[in-house]
Amino acid sequence: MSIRHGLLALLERGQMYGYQLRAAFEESTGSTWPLNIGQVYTTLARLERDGLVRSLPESEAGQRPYEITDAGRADLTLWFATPVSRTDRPRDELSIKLALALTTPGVDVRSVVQTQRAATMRTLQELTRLKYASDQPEELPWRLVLDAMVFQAEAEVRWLDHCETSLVRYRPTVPGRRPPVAADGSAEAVVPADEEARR
Amino acid sequence: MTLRPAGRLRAGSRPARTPEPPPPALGRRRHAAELIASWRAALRIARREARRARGRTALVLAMITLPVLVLTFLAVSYDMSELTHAERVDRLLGAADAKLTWVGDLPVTQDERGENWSPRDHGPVGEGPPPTTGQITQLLGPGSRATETRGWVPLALRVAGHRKAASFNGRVLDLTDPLTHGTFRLRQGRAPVAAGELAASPVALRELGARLGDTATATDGKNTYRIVGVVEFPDDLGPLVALHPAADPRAERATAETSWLVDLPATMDADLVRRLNEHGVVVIRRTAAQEHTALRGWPDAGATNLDELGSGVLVSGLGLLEVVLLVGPAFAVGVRRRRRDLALVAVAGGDAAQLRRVVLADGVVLGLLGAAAGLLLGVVTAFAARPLVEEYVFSARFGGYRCWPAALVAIGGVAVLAGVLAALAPAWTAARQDVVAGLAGRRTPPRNRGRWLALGLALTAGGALIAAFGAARSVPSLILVGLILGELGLVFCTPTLIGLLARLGRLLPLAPRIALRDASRNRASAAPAISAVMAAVAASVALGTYLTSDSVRNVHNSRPTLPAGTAQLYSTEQHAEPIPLAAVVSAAGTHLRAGAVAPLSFAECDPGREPAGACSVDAVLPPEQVCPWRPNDRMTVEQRRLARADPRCQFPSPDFYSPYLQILVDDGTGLPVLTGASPAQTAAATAVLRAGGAVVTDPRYLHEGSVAVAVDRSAERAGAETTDRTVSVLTGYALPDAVGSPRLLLSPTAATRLGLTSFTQSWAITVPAAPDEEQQQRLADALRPYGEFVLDLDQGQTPSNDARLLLLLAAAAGVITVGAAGIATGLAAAEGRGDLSTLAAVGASPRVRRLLALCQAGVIAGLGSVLGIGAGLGTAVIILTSINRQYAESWPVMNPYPLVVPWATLGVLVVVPVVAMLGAGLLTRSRLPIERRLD
Amino acid sequence: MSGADGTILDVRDVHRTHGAGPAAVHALRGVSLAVRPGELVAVMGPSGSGKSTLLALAGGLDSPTAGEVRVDGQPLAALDRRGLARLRRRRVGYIFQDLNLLGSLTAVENVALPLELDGTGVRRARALALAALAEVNLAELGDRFPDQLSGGQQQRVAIARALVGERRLVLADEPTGALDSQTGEAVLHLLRRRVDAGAGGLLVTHEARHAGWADRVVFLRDGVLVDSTAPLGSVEQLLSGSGR
Repeated sequence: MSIRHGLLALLERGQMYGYQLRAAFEESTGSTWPLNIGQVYTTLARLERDGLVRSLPESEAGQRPYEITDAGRADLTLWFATPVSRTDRPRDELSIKLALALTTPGVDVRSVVQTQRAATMRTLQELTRLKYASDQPEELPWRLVLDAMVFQAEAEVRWLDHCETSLVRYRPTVPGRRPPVAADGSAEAVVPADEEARR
Repeated sequence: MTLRPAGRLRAGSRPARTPEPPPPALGRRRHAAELIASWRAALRIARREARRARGRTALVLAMITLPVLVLTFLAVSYDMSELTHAERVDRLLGAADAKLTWVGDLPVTQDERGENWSPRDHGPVGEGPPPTTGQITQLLGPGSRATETRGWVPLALRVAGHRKAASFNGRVLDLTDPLTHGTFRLRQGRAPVAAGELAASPVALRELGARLGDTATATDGKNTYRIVGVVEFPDDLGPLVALHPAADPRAERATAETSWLVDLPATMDADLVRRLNEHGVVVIRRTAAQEHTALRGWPDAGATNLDELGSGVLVSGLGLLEVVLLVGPAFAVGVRRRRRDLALVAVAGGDAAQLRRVVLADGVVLGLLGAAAGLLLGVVTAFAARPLVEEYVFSARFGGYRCWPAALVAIGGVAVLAGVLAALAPAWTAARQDVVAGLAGRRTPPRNRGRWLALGLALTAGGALIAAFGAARSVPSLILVGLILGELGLVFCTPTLIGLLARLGRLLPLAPRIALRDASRNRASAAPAISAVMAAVAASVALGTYLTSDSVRNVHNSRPTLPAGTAQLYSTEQHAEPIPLAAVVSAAGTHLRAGAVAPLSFAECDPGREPAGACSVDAVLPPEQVCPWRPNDRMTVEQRRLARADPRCQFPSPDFYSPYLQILVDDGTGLPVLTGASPAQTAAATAVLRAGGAVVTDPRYLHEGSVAVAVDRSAERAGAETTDRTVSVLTGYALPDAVGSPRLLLSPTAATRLGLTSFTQSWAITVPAAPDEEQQQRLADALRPYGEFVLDLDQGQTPSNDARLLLLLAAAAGVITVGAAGIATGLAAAEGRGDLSTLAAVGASPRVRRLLALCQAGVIAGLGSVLGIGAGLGTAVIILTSINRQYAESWPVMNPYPLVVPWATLGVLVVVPVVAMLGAGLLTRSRLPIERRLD
Repeated sequence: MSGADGTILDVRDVHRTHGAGPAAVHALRGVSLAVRPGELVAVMGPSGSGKSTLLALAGGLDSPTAGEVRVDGQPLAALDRRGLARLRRRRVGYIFQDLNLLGSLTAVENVALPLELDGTGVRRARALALAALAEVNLAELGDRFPDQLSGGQQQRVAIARALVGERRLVLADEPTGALDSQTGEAVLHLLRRRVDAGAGGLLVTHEARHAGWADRVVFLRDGVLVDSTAPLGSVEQLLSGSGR
């Protein structure tokens, strides 16, 4: 999600000035995405340059409200209609970290996994707690944002669980050579059978 | 579970898919093949299921095996007890070639086997004595030998030191003669060889209280015998003694049977048989006639009338119903536990018929197993118990070890039928189950089907009507049909009833509430169990009520021959010499502490009169006192009504057909003892007797103060029989309140005037208390010089005769109740294992779990008992009332059956559910169920 | 009555071995765990890791081969079967994945079950049960039978029963396993609320999202606790960012 489209979406509700936009943004994303006011103004300036918003005359208090243009509305509609693609996101630091940990000698990969899992679990707990604290109907947008993060965190924990299970069975054949990826098909096939046996 | 055959079948069962329909013959063959394959699959599933659910299988097997075992035991024992002709002949003849029996001084013809004979011509029977052994040998020809045996020689013996004497059948034969060998077995000691010796059977020894070597004295004191041997006659294991021919008392010629065992140089030919028949001798010999034991008929098959046979079949039907009801719950639970499996069969393409078949196959497999086990165990038990059964039941040795294949096949068939019938209802529900719900493991909630209730009520009402009709017509099989229909009706009603009761459960404490609701939810298994209890209890109560009522009615009907507190002493023989009254008085006074002793002097026509002819004395009923109808007449309803209202026709029912009047000669001394009349009446009656009159106990005989007595003498003169009747009118007196048999007391004067004599053979004795056996024995001993005497204590009919039978009935119902409750509780426990785990997790103590089991048993046993008692009493009321309604219009007047509640039976049946509940509570494992899902 | 340190459930170095010899299965190998009032502890781990055994031990449905389990300061080893049953009636509530309710009892009767078993009068037990049902927003369905309730409703009844009266320890074994995510969420929400009211909870689950509802998550692997998260702070702390 871009701040650009976030601000556009907020302006769709009506004209707003900088501080109002920041407060509304944080309100609807539950402070998980803190904005500084500078970011807001630079973004607004870019939006105005691209003709998606226009600035209105300053008020007596010296605040300059902005409103969305028709081009801005069209851009917003397009944004909502386009799925977020995986490639838009920054590279996943965690998976790169684990892959490196496996190939770097002297690193306890399990402890890396467990530390990460505890941290993610912790995040998950916090997110759940926030969700639990916001049970008013009008807080739905905020809860959905939380849910998105909850599911992401859950996926991460599950992935870490999976990594841990695979690591238990990981025996590097030739030290120094690049090991097979922990989660490849052949390794997977062994796991369920073993699991069965342990029950 | 293998589903492959079902899938294959499905393809075959859709001819629409095949391009060309097969020709009909081929289609039929395919259909048959389909059926066989389908059954094969179903049977395989059933076999595996039986092995998997061991507990349930054991329960069902026990229920089927037990009755099969009992029936097989009975059938095999009966078959072994029935001797073949050859066995019978062997037993009779032993080592001899033939047995000759003298039947009388007349020529006879006999059949081949000598079992039946008849007089050859209608000539008069001679009075000659039986032929001697010498005469017989002569008839048989040279080289032959005969030894005489005689049976049925009465003999009363006593051993010193034992007060009690015992009477036996004596057999007179020479046990040392090789000809008699094979007809007996000497078990101990030796054979008697002299007149003063005898051999006794083990039972006879026991009755005498004697041992080998003791000396027994005949009660008439004439002979003494030393017991030298213990002998067993295979045809009669009862009390028997064998006497040496030299000891033959010879007195009892008339009652004794005279036979000879003979040894012949050649075979006995028809000619010789004819010659012997000429002399009244019947021959039993070995014949070549073959007999096919396998084709032997059923017991009494020939002689049974249709109604009895029908009743037998119906009673067996009730038994079958009982077994079906007991086994049914197990199958219902099986279906419930296999909901998912059955749904999978349906998913794999099994149609309703195939689903049904899977469940029915359970019935077939378990029925077959149960039948096989029962038959095997029954035969083994019968063989093992043979010596005991021979001794205590049949009192005769069996012919050999054999079973009765035809009967066993029938029993086995019925057992399999029971299995299939029990699986029928569950099979139907299985086929109707909602597949989706089954797959999800959900139960399809029981539908409350009004149709079944309506059918049940209709059947109950119809059954009651039929039973009532049958009772009114006295057709037992019709009554039974009604009862079976009514019972079936109640069985159909139970599910609804359980549902209703469960709704009331809201107010109950926890355990009974759960038990009641469980029963309601699992109606398919609870209802048959309750019905089984109900059927057993109802039968027991109905029979119990009938028997109690019958026995009370018999007490009402029976009339004592003498007033209470009076015993009657009989002399068993007729004597030329009259027995002095003083001897009787003194013996009775000493040994019975008797008050009054009144001789019963029976009036008799002059016995010495010639020519000999019949002679009778009777009081004559005045014509206007004679009832216009006779009991045997066919009468219309109107006539019967008139007769019932007619005071002349009011004689009590026991006297319908033999209104026998005892005619005694008495001068007034015996009167109070015999009739129990009040002192005032006694005085008046005595006055009449002193004046030469007569006294009657039935006032109808009194006409204007006098009684007419007729003496009929018939005589044969010149080939024609003539009867002379003399009627004398005597001053009379009636004792309407007299107790005892109807009597006419003639004064001695009157008796003389009528030309009658009297003889005294019995005495009425007033006793302070009923004399015990020892007192009676002492009295008999004191009177021994005058012959044998028997004391008759007429206590009237005692109602306790049936008490044992009643308790036995109740016990049988009780066993079924406990069994059904046990089965149902066990099944409920198996079914509710999940619930028990939940209870455990919630913190139910072991006690609560026991309590739950107790209540589950209580619901089955209690509800069944209550319903059964109700149904049983209802049945009895219907039957007794309809009999009574018939009696209310009948004439002669019959005493109605009183409605008596058999409290002893009811008591047992109320206690039984409590026992069942306690048993269930105690036997329930209160250990925590090992929770699979907690592992 | 609770432990000296206010602990409701105290599991100390517990071992549990099924069978003996070479066939022995070590379900738990030295697990220690404590649950305080107002605390919901989640136990995570793959199947066969010993989660359910731990739960069975905590409620006295099973007893440890070695080690000690205390509920409210009471060592379970000192109790006989009767005592354990009493404990489950008064202190411990179980919630399973399914088959929680007796089919023959209505919802309110199911909730009242432990009270009735403990000898509480029918009327009072019903009142308490209705109150407990109201807590899970099911008061109006109290007279329905389990057959007539949805899966989520059944689990809510089970929660009501687990915490009816004075019971303060909930042992939940995959309580949302048979439910869809939204319904499961609602059930956990309720469970969380009941724990916040002062009960202690032990939640066995293999789903991280469900474990997220806990204050503390412990990871069980092959009978050993391998890892756990630190206790969570309050919502305010979280929002202000200092909880992290």
